[in-house]
Order: sequence, then C-alpha cells, then structure tokens
Amino acid sequence: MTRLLFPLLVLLAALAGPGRAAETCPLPESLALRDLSLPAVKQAVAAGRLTVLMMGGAATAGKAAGDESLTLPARLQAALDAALPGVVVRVVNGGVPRSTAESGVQNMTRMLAETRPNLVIWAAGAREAVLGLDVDPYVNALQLGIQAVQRAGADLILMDMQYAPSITRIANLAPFRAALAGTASAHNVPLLERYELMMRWNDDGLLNLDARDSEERQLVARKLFGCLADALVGPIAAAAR
Amino acid sequence: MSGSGQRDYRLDFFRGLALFAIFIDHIPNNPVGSFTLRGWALVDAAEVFIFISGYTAAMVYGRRMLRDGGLFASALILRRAWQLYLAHLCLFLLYAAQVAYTVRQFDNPLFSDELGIGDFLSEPDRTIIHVLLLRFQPALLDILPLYIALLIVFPLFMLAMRAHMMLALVPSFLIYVLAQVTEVNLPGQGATDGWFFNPFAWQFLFVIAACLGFAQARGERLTPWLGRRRRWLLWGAAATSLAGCAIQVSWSLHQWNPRIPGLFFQALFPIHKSLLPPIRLVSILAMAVLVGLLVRRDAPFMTSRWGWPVVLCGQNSLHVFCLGILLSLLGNIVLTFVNKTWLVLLAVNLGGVAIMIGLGLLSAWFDGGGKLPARPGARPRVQPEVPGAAG
Repeated sequence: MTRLLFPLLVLLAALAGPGRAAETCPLPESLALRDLSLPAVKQAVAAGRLTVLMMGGAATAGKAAGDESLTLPARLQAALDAALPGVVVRVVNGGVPRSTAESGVQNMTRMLAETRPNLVIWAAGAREAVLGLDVDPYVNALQLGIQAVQRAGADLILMDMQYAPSITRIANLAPFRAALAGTASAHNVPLLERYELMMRWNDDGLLNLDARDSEERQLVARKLFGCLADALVGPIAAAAR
Repeated sequence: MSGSGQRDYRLDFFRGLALFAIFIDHIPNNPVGSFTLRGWALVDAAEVFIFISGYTAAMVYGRRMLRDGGLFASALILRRAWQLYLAHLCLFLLYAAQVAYTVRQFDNPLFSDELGIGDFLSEPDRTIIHVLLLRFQPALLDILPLYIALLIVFPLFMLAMRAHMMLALVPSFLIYVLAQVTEVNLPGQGATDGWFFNPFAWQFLFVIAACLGFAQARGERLTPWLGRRRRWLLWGAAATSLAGCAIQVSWSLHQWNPRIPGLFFQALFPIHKSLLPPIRLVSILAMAVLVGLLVRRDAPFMTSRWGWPVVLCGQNSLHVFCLGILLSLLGNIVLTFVNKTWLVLLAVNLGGVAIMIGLGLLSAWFDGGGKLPARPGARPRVQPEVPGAAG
C-alpha cells in the first residue's frame, strides 16, 4: 500500500505544482470541531481584522515542511484568507521546537502582549511525555496558559499531540492526552484531537507517517499541515459568522 | 519468610493482583487498563503495592529485629534495597535497548524536533550517571526507585517503631505535611524536575502500613482496641470507597463521552499522583480497612485453585514485578506491529498475566526445592463414600 502511495504522491505533487500537494483529508464527524463559540474572533472578523497566534513545538514551527509558506500556520493563514474575504488575517507562528507546556506558557505571555491575538491555537504535551515528566506540572501549565489567554481577551483552541504508528514505543502519551482532554473539558475549551485524526489518516493510507524516505517525509508533512489547516478553518469561519 | 502461626494470604493475593494491574496499566493505550483498580477507585495499583510492601517489610524485618537485633535486621533491609537497585538497572538496560531500536524510526523531522527522543542516548555521560543516581526515571521505571529510597531509610523508622509507634508515625506525618506544602522532592533529571513518586509524600503510606505490620510481628492484635469502633470504621471506609468509586466511574464515562457529567469534575480533576494528596491517601486506607475487616486472612477464594497462582505471584513480587515491566514493553511492541483488534488486545493482556503466573509458579518451585508448596485450602481427598450411605 505505502509503496504504491509514494509514487502516487510524487505524481500528485508534480501535477499540483511545486510545494503544493493535492490535499484533502476527510474529517470524520466525531473528530470535527463543531459549534465553536469564539466571541473574540466574531468581533474581530466583524471589525475586518483577525489575528491568530499558534503556539506549540516543532510541529507548529513546521521545519519539516521545508518551506516557510507550507507550515501549518501559513496554511491556516491561506485558508482563512480564502474563507473570510475582506478580512485582514494574520496568523503568527509561535512554535518553538522542543518546548514543554511550562516553557510554552512563559513564551505565550510574551507573545500575547506582542501580537494581541483574537484567537490562540495551542498544542502542548508531546515533549514532556517523551522526557517521562510528570503530568501534574503539565496540567498546572495548561491551566496557567488558559487563564493567560482568557485575561488577554482572546479565544482558545487546544490541540493534542501528533500521532505516529510506533509512538507508543518511546512515549506514553496516554496520560498526557487524558489530562489535556480533561483540562480542556473542565475549562470548556475546544480541543482538536490531532492524534486521533492523524491515526485515521495514517490507517486509511492518506498519510504514511512511518515514511523513511526524506522526500516522502517532506511531502507527508506538507500534506498533513494542509489537512490540519482544513480541519481548523471551517469551524473557525463558521464561528465567525 | 518464617511465619508464626498462619500466613496472611491477603498480602500475597492483593499484591499479586496489583502486579497484574501494574503490567496492564503500563501498556500505553490499553483499553483493558480502564478495568483495573484505577478505573473504579481514586487510587491505583501503586498505592496497593506500596501499602502491602510497607506492611510486609515491617512484619518480616520486624520479626528479625525482635529475634536477631536491630543491626542485623537493618543490614538485611539494606541488602534488599541493593537487590532492588540491581533489578532497576537491569530494567533500564531493557528500556534503553528498546528506545535505541525505535529511535531510528523517529528521525523523521515531523517528530524528531518535536519530541527530542533519544536525547538521553546522545548524552550517555549525563544519562548513565543519572540512571545510577536514580535521577533518570522513564515512565515505566519510577516505582522501584521509590521502593529503594523507602527501604534505605526504613531501618531508622523500624528502630523508632520499636521504641514507640508514635516516634515513627509523627515524624512521618510531619514530613508528609511538609511535602504537601512545599512540594520538596528528590532531584530528577532536569533542574526543576523531581521524582514522579515523591518519596517525602509516599513514605507516609509506607510507614502507616509498616506500623500495622510491625504490630503484627510483635503479636499485638488490633481487635481489642477496635471494639465498638469497628462498626464506625467499617461504615466510614465503605462510604469513602463507594464515593471514590462513583467519582472515578463517572470520570471514566465522562472522558469516554463528554455528555455524561463527571462528578466534582471541575473541582477535583485531575487528582495528582506525585504528592499522594490526602484524597488518595484516605482512599487507599479505606480500602485497606475494608479488606482488613471483611476478608479473612485465609479466605477460601485466595487459596482456591484460581486464587492460589495469584498468591504465588504476590509471594515472589520482585521477580514478577520486573517481568511485568518487561512484558509491558514487549506487549506494547506487539501492539504497534499488529492490528489492534479486541482479540489481539485480550491475547496480549491475558498472555502477559499467564507468563507472570508462570514465573510465580517457577519461583515457588525453586523455593520449595523442586516442589510447589501445597495449597493450604486443598483438603486431602475424602474417600469416596460408600454408595447408598448418602441416601
């Protein structure tokens, strides 16, 4: 299956032009964000100016895509531009590789003041799982971050960790995912279940997350970022209307 | 273990069950883990394991102390701590081999920068020293260091207990309170990280259990003291355990389907484990009271055909524990290679438990000099009755 997929991907990429892989990943009903209430976004869109701050680790920074314009924040910016005509959209890439939730919060306080976003999209938790750190400070950091975003008057969407087929062999994400889901639910913050989404896309053969070849890996990263941007843009645009 | 009188099989049986639960809970994303203790109580196997270990250690080494003196008993305890340390190092080696093998797969830039996996492999100088100092404790390998640390200071507590129980309990309680307030901890791998199981907090559970075990070693009985309090204690413990069960089950359902409300979810979630907060401490003590008062020390289900293998696992807990951790690693590898159907999941979980039971039987066979110890409940075969006599 994967052997067939690679040439196919290359072909698709070639057809779509450089750096623009054809990407549509189906979004299972149960994993789609629905009925988001994003008052700050709504207000900003009405005023014609929307700023989004994306916080997280390397997957947000997006070096894996090999091109600044193909990272997740860049793809989200393009998708929002298209979905919200007439609105000046700015998506700020606040991803710092190898950041934990704790270091992320410190960063976030600074970034919130600098960029004054209407919406924050925050992914945290993978790094601490790999380090085998404790869940408790992670939850504390999440709570601090949620409060910081609320104080700044912005809306928040949380995003959980990236999935890979053999990830459980090096990191036990389960307690962190459970803590993240629980904290999100306790604070009424929407959560995009990136882990489950990537698992579906991988298992359905849409993304080969176990790819070995470096070119294929880059294509997979580009496609993934596009798919995630698609998963985010619909619900945000719907909430803005 | 030289026992005076009849053996308390509850210690072996419930420790055996805790060992199975530790194996099952350590397999990541294992749905079977929702059905172990942590799925329906505010505690999990770690509390059970530490409680029973404290009780057993005080009972066994308490007898030695009363018979052979404090110095010899202390030396025995420290020798045990050394054995556990060696076991911990062996487990780390297995863990490191597994990670080293997997890391290649994760040099994918999509993950490598995010996770920084194998950082510990690329800095062996720092890592190996941290492993030897018990500062590096990956998720699977955090309970043995706690047990080792507890045993190292245990002789002091034992000597205090011998003078008066309160000499052990009061300082232990004060250290626990100090840990709750200041979150003081032993150093972990980073500047700000501590041990997952904070020894300053968890020692209190160990010492409480040890006081009970030491009283047992001395032949003191709690029954006369209990008297009329027994009933209140029982009701209190039952109410606490039921409330804990209701809360945990509602949370499990809530996480499975957010539309089901979690009881006290906003106020209590998540119940931290590192510091053994009072809610966990009270829950495990309540469960211990329930078992202590309601289950007889030689209750037939423990010595039955099905209960006995669990007892044998509990009696050889160090070996079975280490094997359980290894099996969690292996089980997880199996599950990442094959399709995770329910059948495969059950096979991995049951297969692991079966292998652990096998080791329990093997250890018992060695201890018995080539024979399995006889099951105490097993009645000698009654001669078949004479036909007609029953009619």
